[in-house]
Amino acid sequence: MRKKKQIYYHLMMFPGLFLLIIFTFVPMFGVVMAFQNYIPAKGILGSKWVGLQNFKTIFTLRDSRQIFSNTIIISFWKIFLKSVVPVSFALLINEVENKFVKSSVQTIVYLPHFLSWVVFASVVQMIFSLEGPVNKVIGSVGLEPIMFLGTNQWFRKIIIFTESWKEFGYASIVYFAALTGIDPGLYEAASIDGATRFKKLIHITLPGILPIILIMLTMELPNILSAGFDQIYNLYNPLVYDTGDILDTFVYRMGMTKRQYSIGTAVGLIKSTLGMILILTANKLVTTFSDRRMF
Amino acid sequence: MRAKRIMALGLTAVMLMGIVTACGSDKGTGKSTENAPQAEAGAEGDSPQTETGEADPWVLAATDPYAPYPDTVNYTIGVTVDPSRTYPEDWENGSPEHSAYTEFYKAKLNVQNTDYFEAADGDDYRTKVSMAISSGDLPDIMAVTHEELVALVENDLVEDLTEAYSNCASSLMKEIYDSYDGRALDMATFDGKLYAMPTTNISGGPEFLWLRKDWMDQLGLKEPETLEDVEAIVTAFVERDPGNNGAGKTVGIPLCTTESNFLYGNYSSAYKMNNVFTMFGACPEQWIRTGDGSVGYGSVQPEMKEGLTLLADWYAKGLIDKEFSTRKYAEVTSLITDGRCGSVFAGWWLPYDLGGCYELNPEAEWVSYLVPAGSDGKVTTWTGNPNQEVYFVVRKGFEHPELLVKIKSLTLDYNQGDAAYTDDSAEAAAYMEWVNHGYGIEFIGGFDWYDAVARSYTHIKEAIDGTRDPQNMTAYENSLYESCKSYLASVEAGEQPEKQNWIDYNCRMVAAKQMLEADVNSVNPVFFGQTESMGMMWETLRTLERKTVMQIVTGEVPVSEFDTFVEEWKAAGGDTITAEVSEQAGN
Amino acid sequence: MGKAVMKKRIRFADIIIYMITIALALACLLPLLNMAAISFSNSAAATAGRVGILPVDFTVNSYAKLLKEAQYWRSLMISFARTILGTIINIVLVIVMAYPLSKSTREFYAQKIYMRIVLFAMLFNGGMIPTYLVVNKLGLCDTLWSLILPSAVGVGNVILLMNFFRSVPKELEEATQIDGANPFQTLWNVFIPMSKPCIATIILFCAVGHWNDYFTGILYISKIRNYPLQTYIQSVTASFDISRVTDPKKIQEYLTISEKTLNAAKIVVSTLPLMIMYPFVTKYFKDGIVVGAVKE
Repeated sequence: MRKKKQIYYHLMMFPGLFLLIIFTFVPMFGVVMAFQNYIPAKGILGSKWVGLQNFKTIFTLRDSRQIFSNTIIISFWKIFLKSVVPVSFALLINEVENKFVKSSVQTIVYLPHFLSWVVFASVVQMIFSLEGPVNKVIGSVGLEPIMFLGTNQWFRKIIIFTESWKEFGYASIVYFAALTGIDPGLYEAASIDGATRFKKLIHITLPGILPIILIMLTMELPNILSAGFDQIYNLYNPLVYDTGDILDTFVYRMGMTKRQYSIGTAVGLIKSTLGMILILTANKLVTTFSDRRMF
Repeated sequence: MRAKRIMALGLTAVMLMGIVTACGSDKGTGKSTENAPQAEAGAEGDSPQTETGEADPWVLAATDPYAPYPDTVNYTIGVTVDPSRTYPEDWENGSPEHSAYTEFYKAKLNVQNTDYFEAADGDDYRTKVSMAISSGDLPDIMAVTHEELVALVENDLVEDLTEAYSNCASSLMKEIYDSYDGRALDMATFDGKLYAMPTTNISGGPEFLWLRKDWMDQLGLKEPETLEDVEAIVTAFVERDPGNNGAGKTVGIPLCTTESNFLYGNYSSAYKMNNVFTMFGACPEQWIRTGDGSVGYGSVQPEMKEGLTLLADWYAKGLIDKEFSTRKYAEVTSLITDGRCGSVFAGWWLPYDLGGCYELNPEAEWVSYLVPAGSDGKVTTWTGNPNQEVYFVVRKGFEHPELLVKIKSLTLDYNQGDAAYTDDSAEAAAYMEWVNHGYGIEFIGGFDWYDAVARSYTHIKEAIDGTRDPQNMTAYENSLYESCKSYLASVEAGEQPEKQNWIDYNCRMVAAKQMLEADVNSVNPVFFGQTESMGMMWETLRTLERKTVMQIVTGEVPVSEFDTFVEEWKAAGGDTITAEVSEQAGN
Repeated sequence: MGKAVMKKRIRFADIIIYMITIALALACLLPLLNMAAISFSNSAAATAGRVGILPVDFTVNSYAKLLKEAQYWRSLMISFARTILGTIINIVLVIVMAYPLSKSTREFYAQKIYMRIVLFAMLFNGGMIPTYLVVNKLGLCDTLWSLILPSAVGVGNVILLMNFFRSVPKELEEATQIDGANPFQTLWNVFIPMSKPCIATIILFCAVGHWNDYFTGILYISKIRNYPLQTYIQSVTASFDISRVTDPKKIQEYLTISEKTLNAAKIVVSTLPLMIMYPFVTKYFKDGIVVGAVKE
């Protein structure tokens, strides 16, 4: 019986694994491009081997420290807000009792996710321009108008804020789902004990969705070096390179003179390796501090 | 490897034989090259009219621009398309693969296309080409960039088109390429062999300062000549608000700063300030010969500093759009359309961007001025890359490399020559209908005389004056002529001209005239390609340049920072690249 | 007395909660309202940037034009087909993979090695060119399968569902096994009903992913007539970056077709199916509570 079960399990793994092998593992031979000066006309077999040259280029660029730190700072805050805001929102909406308000708000907040950054950026630009509503408010309290997207003091904050604005609704869906998994009996018991709304939130709701929060957070970690190309590309300009230029935008600009597949692959490899280290560390931490394991 | 070489040798032998036979028949058919395309011959398809009567029809087809192939020749092609173009309603199964263009080629030359890939021009198409090259699975014909062309030639993946060009290019095609003084084809020639048919870049002419004449009149301002005049006018626009936009709402000179459209640089696109830089003798982003005869990069020459000083000064005074750092092209157009800006630098084609403005405020009168003049009273410009990044190549091993040249010749004859008027076949009529109504894009890509804009002005002007037959010009010019005529008729009748007519007239008759008559100093940049070190180092240098320039203009750093920038630029690889460019340009 | 105070406090908290949620909803509605307003506006007014959240010179011209654009509707149909087929394949694979992976190594001895393979596949990939070479060699280019198969296994979703499965009480599973059910039956009868909210969420994620993805279309589809909707919209709007065009003659060509209002209409229509879909998904969220109550 046990053995038979094992066969069933293998059988279940098979179709997905088969597709992964064909479409993910087989193409991994392409990683060698990171160690080549890849030229499409020469192919992978014919391109010149350059060893670690591409990695050296990435790390020894004049601005590489700036670029790496921008990337990490921006994506750290994005990941942070991507957990905090959607979770808070899910908790908030959980407290709304009016069914109509609840479902229509849920539907509306997930809409911005469907607009591409090209479109969303034009709205962001309108709102934060010198004559936009934000500066109108600032002006009405007698302060100098601020060029939000043209100054280094503000650029990152705007990037992080607008990303959160666009994505929080979509990201909160999974927490809505998690909230439904909490046993209503626990709330009833707590009410009988006279717990306040806030106490219930802290002692029942939050612990109930904590595993999902941890999972979602962990799965965001590998993206620490991808700070959101589309968004930044559509909003930045040379004046804010110091705070806004990230790895992906820089590599993209490099490719404008010459297509840089090798550099691109090398960057991908760095991202993946760092991602793996982070995700394994996170898993270790979680298993050490709780009895759960993620993987 | 050896097998490849033997094959190549075999190919050469075959081709040589072809050439020998070709030479024999060339004399016989030489005349037909001069004649208008033989519509009848094309329509019948399988029985080419040879004057000698002895030549093999296959050989003839391979050596004559107009001779159709005896049997249908199939070819695959990677095409650029405009995905949203619609097809005429009576055209069944319209697609980029099946259009009046493909039907036309089939009828005239007996060739049939299969689209290997279709993609919108730009990044999409470049992705497709890269993938095709990477997989070694090339279409018979496609368009590549110069960088790709170099790699393809080095790896022997594309056909030598030298013979095909000399035999199968129509005299019109040769004439058009010749209008670039050989510069266009030179860029596609390696070791004396031609490997691609480049799509050329017509002369964009100088940059003008476009001003709202109605605002100038309202404020009693005189026409500008010098830099001081320009400053006075823009100051008046910004401070006295002739458009009633409200205090502080009128924008001076707008600029935009996207990756591909910076506040200076090549003359295509718009909303830059090249004229101000050239006035001081700077040619930003161009490889030029400097005062001492050596090759140098325009943006790091000392003259650049003077230009930047002026821009910084104007920015501080509010004459340059305060928010230029965050503006994209479409947003600048919005400012103009909204009537909030009355002064922009742009080429002769700006009216195409003024359509919305014309609709919303018909009283707006835009006039272009060639300013600011330098000490010799003239504006200085530089000449651009003779080619677009569009080089049509033929896959190595394709049996009919001349097919590309033949299709291109054919379309040129109809689009730029007078064949459209003489050929009354149904296919030609359908073809011209599509060309004129913009159904789909002609995938093989037309190109034009270097001085196309000046030519069209001359032709249209003569036709309007009655000294030229309106059919004695290209079909495109003819449509512009009709448009300009309607414009004049409306003006005479006291009606408001239609938007498109207004645009065409202002571009083709007003601005183009000014462009033709403009007396400018011209600088010829010495290099347009890429060098070895640019791949890794160039973006760092460009980032540094653009950042510093914008910081200087916005006053974030003093102008003196320019000197630090130049030193850094040189140390960070600029000197190496300059040496490489100098070596390549010297040859 | 004490009770009355508490009631009052709750009401005050409720007002704050309602105010915040509605404000957030309005902030999220803004960009789409702007798009919708542009699509219903006069084209010149839209170009002038005068359109905010209300249309200027209301007109349905762009929608009339869009109706005639055959390729848009063909692409819409392709996107429907792709989304439905792709999502079904996605969710089936996610479920059958998540189940064995949710077992401990004691229950399924190969769990650890499979988990490692799956994790590795999530983090590393060969990149665009090698994947293209494989898809091309398999002859999938220009077919619907090229849009579905390479991304058929969503590893992130597998891990998510796996964690949901782990929270299903052991007793329920054991009960079915005593009845002699095989793992497929256990999965079907116990785990899937217990994880409805999570599965619904994953279905939504997959569907949205398929619907919104444009780049695979550009990469693998070679004929425009086979483009899915977002690829089509992207390719139409992307060619508008006028500043990329270097030939003055082409600039004219592009300027005459740049129709901001028509593009806005395209975007608005393309988001409609997703707006309609969402309430259907949240319906299952309520089921979750019922199932949770049964757990006791």
